Amino acid sequence: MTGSEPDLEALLAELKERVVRRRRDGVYPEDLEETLDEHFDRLMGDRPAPSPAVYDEIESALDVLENYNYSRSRIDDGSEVPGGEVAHRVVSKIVSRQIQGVLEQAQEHAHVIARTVTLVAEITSTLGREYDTKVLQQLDDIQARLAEHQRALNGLARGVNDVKARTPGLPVSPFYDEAAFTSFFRGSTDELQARYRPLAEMFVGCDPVLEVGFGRGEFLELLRAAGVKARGVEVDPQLVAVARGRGLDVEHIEGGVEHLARLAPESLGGLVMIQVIEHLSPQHVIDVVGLAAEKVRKGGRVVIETVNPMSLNTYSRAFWADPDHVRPVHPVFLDFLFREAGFSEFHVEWRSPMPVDETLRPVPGDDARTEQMNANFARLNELLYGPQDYALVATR
Amino acid sequence: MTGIHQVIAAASAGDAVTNSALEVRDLLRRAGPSEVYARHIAREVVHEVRRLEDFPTRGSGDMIVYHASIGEPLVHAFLLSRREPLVLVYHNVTPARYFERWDPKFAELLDLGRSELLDLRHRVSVAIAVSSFNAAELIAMGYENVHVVPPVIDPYRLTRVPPAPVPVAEPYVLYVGQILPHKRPDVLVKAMHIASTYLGSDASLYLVGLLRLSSYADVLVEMVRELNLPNVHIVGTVPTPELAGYFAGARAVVTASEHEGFCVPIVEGMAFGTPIIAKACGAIPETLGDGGLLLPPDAGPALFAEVIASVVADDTLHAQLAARAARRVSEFDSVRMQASLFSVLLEVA
Repeated sequence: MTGSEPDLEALLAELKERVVRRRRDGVYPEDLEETLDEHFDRLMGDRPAPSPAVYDEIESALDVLENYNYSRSRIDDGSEVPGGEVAHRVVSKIVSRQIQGVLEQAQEHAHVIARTVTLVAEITSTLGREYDTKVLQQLDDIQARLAEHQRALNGLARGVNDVKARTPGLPVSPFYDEAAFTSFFRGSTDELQARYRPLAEMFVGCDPVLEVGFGRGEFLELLRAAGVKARGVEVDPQLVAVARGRGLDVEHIEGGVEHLARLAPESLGGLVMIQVIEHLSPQHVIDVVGLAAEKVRKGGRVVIETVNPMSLNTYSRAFWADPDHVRPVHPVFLDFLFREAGFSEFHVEWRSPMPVDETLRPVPGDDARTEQMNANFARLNELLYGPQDYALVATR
Repeated sequence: MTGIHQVIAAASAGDAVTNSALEVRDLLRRAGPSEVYARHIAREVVHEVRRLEDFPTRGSGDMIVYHASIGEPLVHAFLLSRREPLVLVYHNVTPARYFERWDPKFAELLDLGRSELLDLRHRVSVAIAVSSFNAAELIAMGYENVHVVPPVIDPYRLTRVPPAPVPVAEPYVLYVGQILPHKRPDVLVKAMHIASTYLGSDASLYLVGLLRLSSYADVLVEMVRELNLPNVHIVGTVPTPELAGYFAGARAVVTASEHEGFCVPIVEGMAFGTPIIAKACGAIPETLGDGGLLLPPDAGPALFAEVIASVVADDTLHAQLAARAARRVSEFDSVRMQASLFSVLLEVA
């Protein structure tokens, strides 16, 4: 070796160091080189060998055949005829050249047989080997194809997740706690229960009641307090666990509409959905009302409460605060749906009025101008500061 | 001199021993009649090489130059039966162990090659080794009059061939040589897996050379497929203009060979001013000199990957290595190589 100049040596040392570093930092999987060597060895070596026992037997039989010596000494020259032995010996002496010829032919014949058997053995083992290789090749091909499919599926799954993440109306997967969201935007459990007690009491005598999307379970507790037999379904497993911990009859489901669809006709005495349908697609809103008509028995009760989009203040300040809201459901449209679904009685109840100090106040005085102004304020209040929620209360 | 003829066991196109014998023949023809005789002759070289059976039965003071690289009983018997002074050119015999699991018959021939060399010891007037590495082996076998003479090759031969366009994805590194176990192309394939999977290298690898052992080549192809390496291409043999094309566009010439008697592709790569990456095995250190990056004999795929990725991506490093290659190859003076060969032959004549 002519000797490397120092910079080459330094470079090589640095490259070696990089390999060590990558190994230490986990850039390579552990034992990467060993795994690759094993892989190569497997490709080389793991071809099943033909059964050696048979080959050993053929080998030894061939050995015998090849080395078999036809010998005149083993030709019996004895005789049972008196004096025959002498005659035999004389004859055998006379035909000795011919006997030798026969023996030589027999010897040659044995060689031909041995050669033929060798060829047959070789052909058999070649065929066997090729067959093994072919089968293994096919298995490897299948494996390679499966791996490709797996990769394609992984890609597809990533794509689907991406599309799901981009599509408005599909449930969000937040990093925050759902309970934290509810208490931040919807107030404490006590406040809520005070607001919803009258709604719960509407279900007395409507056993069994199903609540779809029970959230923190306040309404189920109100129903229980009112002595109504109720069951809740919810897509968020954590909320289900919490409610179950509080002794409520609840179930985790994948989708409320699908769950409703699976129920037996007229199996419910009541159905309640509070602040749920604004999370559904328009098709599911329509389906919910249709299914309510099918699953709630005659005389049963349905209550659907949602945000009131006719109150501009609520629409602009509250509705879009929830990233999971798909679109508001207009009370007139919901009313229309219940009419078309054949409910015998239904009406809209305006709920959660705006606190008076957040609305436009009338000006004191009773002159015509003041009255006119106050009448305008009232109209503006209705438009801007209407009730925040409404409930569609229906009887089947 | 009335004529110096050469004998080789097998002649084929692209084979280093055949090429060398033909170069020497052209040289010897300036002084007198000279032919190359072989026991096995591949179709592509039938018009260049004569059959051993046709060797002139009577020589009058002729000299025989025998190129040894593998065992061949008939050639051996032929050499022992002749009276002419015998010059041995030793190109090295690959250790049989590399072939035992792939081709036991070939492994036996390699072993035979070594025992025949032992037999010829007393018959040989002068032994020529193409590298000090080979000379050391001959001396270990008991040879006495051993000269180191680099093979008579024209390092720039391929650079004068108009390169044919080749279907390559750039940047790429190039291996040239037969696809055989002792050349360790598997190390390069593993290195490419590491380079592309873990180092994010965009380099491709082209393996150009005869797939001499189909069972071995099959395993290599299978490994490339199972590791899903679309950037590794096992090309096989190509015509000379295409070979020039592969050399001309290569970002580096790389080999992980563990046994070489000289390693011509390194010299060819240097002639193109291409960085060389090789392993310090056999005669490679003396052939490469300081003309490229010499990795330690135990260098594995990870180090090869690191080196390949660096040489491909780092323009400064690439330029440094290219300059070294060009400088080193200029030291292969074919006139001087011819002169030293002649002086050895004259000693016998």
